[in-house]
Amino acid sequence: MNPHIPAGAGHEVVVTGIGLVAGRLTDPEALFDHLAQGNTLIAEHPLHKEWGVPCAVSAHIDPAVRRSLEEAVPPEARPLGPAGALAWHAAAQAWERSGLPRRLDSERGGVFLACNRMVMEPAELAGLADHVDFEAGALDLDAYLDAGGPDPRRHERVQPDTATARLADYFGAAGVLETHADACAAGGMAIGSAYRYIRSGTLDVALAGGAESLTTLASVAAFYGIGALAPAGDRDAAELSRPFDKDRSGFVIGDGAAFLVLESRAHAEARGARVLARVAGYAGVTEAVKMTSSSRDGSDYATCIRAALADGGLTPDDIDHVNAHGTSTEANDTCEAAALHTVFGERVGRIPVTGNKSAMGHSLANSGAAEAVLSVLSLQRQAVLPTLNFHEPDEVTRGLDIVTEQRHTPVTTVLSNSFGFGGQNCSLILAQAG
Amino acid sequence: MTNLDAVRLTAPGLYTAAGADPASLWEALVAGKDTGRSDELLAEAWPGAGTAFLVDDPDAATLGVHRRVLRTSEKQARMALYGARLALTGPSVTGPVGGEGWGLYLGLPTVDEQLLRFSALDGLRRAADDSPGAVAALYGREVPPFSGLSHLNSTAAAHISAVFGLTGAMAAYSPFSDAGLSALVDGVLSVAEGENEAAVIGAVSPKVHPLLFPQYEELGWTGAAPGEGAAFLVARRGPDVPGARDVPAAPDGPAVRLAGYGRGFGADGADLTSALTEAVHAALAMAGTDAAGIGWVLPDAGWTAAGEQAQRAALDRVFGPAGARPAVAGAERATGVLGPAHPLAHVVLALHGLATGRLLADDGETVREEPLPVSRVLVLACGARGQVCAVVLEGAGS
Repeated sequence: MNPHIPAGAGHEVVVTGIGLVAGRLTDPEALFDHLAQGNTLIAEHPLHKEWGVPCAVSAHIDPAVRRSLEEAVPPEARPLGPAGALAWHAAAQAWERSGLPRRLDSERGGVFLACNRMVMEPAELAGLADHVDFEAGALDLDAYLDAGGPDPRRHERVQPDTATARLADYFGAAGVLETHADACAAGGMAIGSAYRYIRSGTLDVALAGGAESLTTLASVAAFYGIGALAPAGDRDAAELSRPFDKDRSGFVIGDGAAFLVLESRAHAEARGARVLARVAGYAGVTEAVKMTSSSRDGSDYATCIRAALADGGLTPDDIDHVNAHGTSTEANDTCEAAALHTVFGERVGRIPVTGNKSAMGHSLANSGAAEAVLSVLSLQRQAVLPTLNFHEPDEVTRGLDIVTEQRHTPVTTVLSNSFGFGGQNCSLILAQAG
Repeated sequence: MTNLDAVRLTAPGLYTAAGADPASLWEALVAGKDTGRSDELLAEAWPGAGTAFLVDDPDAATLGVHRRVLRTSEKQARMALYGARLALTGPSVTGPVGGEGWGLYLGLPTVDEQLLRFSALDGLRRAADDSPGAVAALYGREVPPFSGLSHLNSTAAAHISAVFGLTGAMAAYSPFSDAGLSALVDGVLSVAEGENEAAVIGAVSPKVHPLLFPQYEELGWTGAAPGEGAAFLVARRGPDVPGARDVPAAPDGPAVRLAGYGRGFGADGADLTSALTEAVHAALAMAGTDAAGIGWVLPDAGWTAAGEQAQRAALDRVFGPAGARPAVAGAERATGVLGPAHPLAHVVLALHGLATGRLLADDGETVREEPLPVSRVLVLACGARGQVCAVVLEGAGS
């Protein structure tokens, strides 16, 4: 149960734990170091390559790593599907690193997970196909069920909120449970929602993040079908994702999970926790343009960024690093670059901009959470990660300071953007712990 | 004065098998009208459930959109868009709708389904016997255009925002009935805290699909008939007055306020009952009342034995024996089980009852209409994984 949110309350919200899994890397620092050295997680997907899938490139989880993570999930947390197992690892890592007790056992803890739905894959459909009347286009469900039907735990495994509930139960943090479904902005929105609950005084602690496991044939085919994925062409896999570059041609799909432990500063300090960063502002807004693109002049994204600044009582001058959404699609990067020009004006050329998706691909609901974790590390290490494959700007992306090699620079306040298909946008501002 | 006092819930929009407005659903329940639909495909596809509470798939003209919008949406997104249109018809007459101050909060279900049409599965069967490459090629040919977008469960939000010009704060939750009340609570709070001037709040059911059956089975489905529909309303800042009952009529029709809410989680039977009981007590306490201050209870659809049992036990704990408790009745007889939309349909139904001073009582055989003795209503959500939510709604002028 939740106490009433008192009007005007404003508790400071800090980050006390981070956890992550991406590619074959299973902790945030290893990923940061990997990316800092200009390395990528994007590679040919061996099975998709073998099958002749047009976009057989992804930032998928290494199969051996996935197996080990799935085996490491405690029995009481099973069954978790492909995304849930990744979520478990990242969340448990963030929780352990925060130094919180194994169980919070408090109504003042919550879990906020971002995860998009999965669809049935070919092997599952093949079993279904035997029971379809193809002329009528209808399924004989009785026969399908009599023959054994789907894996009886399948639905539970793939439903996004299974992991939310399991995490809340395991860590004793079930005051508020939210499973966000805000497309590519969902990770940022889950963190933003958790931040709001702590700031308002409803919660003391929140486990917030995202997880996605969509480097599957069905998902790749679906996103390829709408022209969103970068076509392989003659380029190496590592060169395909190129945010803000004039030759960008689409995103590379990725998997992963990332979580942060958020706490009120008072709660964190009372238990002597190490504060990694603070959440300094947030906005999650919808827009009214169309399903496939936002305003080309960047005005919708600019509105979102300005709302986050206003939420934190900040001005554009306070931001000294942008962790961009930077999908590497022509439309998104154009809109985001235009928004950055609009918000930051002539100062935009002096704010280092990083597009992590150049090396990590786009893990949809997880991307905002993963980028928030990397932003926390940028604050910790006073270093900005490179954007791979940025060689030449176009007319709109010109003038941005796209970082192409790791840069050690003062980082006090980071703007992390996530802009979703259909105009679900969020901007998260993370700042030094203070 | 709490910050919830200044927020009004108004502009109900309801699309169910009983019709396209709350009054039609109310009348259907009282009249015992058979709103189910026997569907030939469904009869085969849902063992033991030849009837379901289906709605027509809204076409482009009904939705007031270009037909290309239909290409990037699934039926459940279209139901949601229609629900939003029904809700926003009134407000759009009395003033401008949309803009930066208008936000959107949605409860969205997920249907675990095949990306390929059933008619394409013959090809899949043959390709599967051939090679993985043949399967991949088949996917390249047969995956429906725009399915990469239409299968995102946030598509409904995108279309609603685009059609009505909503550019305020938003969130979308999934996938079970608690998602509908999460959208309600967070939408109201967004207005109460000044993040939005108004929030469009809605939830939609899953589209009834053959593969929903095994999913429901796995979750402990009791055989309750599935339904389709959408429920929407608008949270707006009302006049800044100390007492809800002093508030003059809202321009968008009757209004209620969210007087209290409570949320919780219980992984299994006893825990679930306790979580629900605590959530109800929290909602009552926030509303400044107790069990005697509730005139009508609308429980969540009893589509799992665990949920049904937990709700019954929680009501026993809160209200005492059946004879002493307020009237209990929901919409299931005329709507079927609506998933995330079910509790929100109940909120809309409660708004109708609070505005007219009536309630519905279900004696197990029929639903009858009675005067509402107290202008407060309790609505429950009991999510399939153990997430529970309770809200207390209170009359705020009509």
